[in-house]
Amino acid sequence: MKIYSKYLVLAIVMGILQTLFYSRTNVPILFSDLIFVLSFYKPIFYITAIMEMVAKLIPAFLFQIIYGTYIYRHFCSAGIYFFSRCSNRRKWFLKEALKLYGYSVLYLFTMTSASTAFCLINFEVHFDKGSLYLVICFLIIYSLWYYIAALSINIIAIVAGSQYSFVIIAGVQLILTLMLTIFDTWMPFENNVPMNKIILQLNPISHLVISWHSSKLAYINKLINTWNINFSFNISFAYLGLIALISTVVGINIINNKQFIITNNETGGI
Amino acid sequence: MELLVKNISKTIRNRKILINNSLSLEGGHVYGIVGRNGSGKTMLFRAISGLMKIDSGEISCDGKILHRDIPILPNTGIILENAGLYPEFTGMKNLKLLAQINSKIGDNEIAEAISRVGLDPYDKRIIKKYSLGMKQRIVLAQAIMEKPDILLLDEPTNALDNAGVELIRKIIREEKERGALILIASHNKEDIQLLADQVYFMNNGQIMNKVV
Repeated sequence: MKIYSKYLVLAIVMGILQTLFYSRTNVPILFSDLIFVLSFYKPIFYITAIMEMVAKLIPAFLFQIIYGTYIYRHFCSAGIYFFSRCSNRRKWFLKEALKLYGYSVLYLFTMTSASTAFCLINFEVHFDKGSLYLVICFLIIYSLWYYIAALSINIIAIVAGSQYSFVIIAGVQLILTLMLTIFDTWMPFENNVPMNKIILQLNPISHLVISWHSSKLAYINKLINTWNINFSFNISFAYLGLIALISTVVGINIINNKQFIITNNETGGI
Repeated sequence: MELLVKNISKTIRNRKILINNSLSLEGGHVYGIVGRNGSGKTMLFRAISGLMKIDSGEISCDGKILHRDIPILPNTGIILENAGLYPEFTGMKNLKLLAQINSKIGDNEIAEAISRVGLDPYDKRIIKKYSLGMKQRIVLAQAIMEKPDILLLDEPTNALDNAGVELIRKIIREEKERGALILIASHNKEDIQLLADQVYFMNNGQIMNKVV
């Protein structure tokens, strides 16, 4: 719906804001570096770096606030008249979920384009070898995460109400991010224990850090792979893709069995 | 068109809201349900439309059983008490969004339905700015716009002035002439007496008896 397209302006603002710090530097910018800036840069497991990661979740939170009602809004005011006509809710939900994924791609693409355009206008940017590959990986990983989070907010709003949905999902993301500090205190990552690697990869937030990944392409691997571990982009695609699939299936089942016992989810009117 | 409701019951949070209700309804007739607020009229409509699942019993439309053969009642126009439209859009835009779901009608039919309830289809005001009476009229327009076989109208004359009430009554008669099966719930006995061929009294979730 057009009303949701208007919010893409926010992606432009977010894209520009994230690259403002370049104005303090006076060296040419590598395009791959710009992608790292949009993906938490190269964080270590110290609490200060993790807190910086939390601050960098703001563009994601903005997307989730706006698109967290994309499907839910149909259940608010016009749900009765909408769903009394909709004979195949599964198909309808899949279509809406697909559009939501489209918006997450569009939001990230707009944000990345805005950052790039801003840097091109104001600084010297070098499009280094492999940076296009990194952009594609960034867009796939982040769009899956934005989709999972926004879809979950919609589903929780439908089940429990919008007063809880964003808080729950934002809270989960904050906790998952802060949990990365365990590698600083309880399980020092430098020790290179295989279990640490598994626990790191179980945390979905760690998949958002492009610089922690590894690549079979030597010139890309040189740019990333901060921890020198086998953390393939394919693992991230599969892991986040699986979570996205599970969220979608859960959503389909919830929508299909949703009963309209109250008239308006927002007012609770019977 | 034949709509059969057989011994339907529903309990929500240990409260029995529908108790063993049965109805046999046919196209070309108007059926009325009278009862006080909270007697279960709206819940009965939700169950019949398929928006709410029943715990026991069976609802069928021309032999097809709801939630087994069909997910919702087919080609049905509904008005439910307190149910609204998208407040941020105009009346026309709202009806277009709803009509897109089944793509049975175009802009002309939508405009015609809005005119029929006495509103301007090209009114630029959004629903949020409508008066209560205008909201009730546009909700009726969404119910009749696709020329439904079944009309479930819960308190259709709520918030309307005398002219509005007369207009709605006229539309209901026209829809009956067209052959639609119409079920009206109202606490306004006059509405029911003037329009319905058969009247049922409902109390505490139970259809008690046929009044007329």
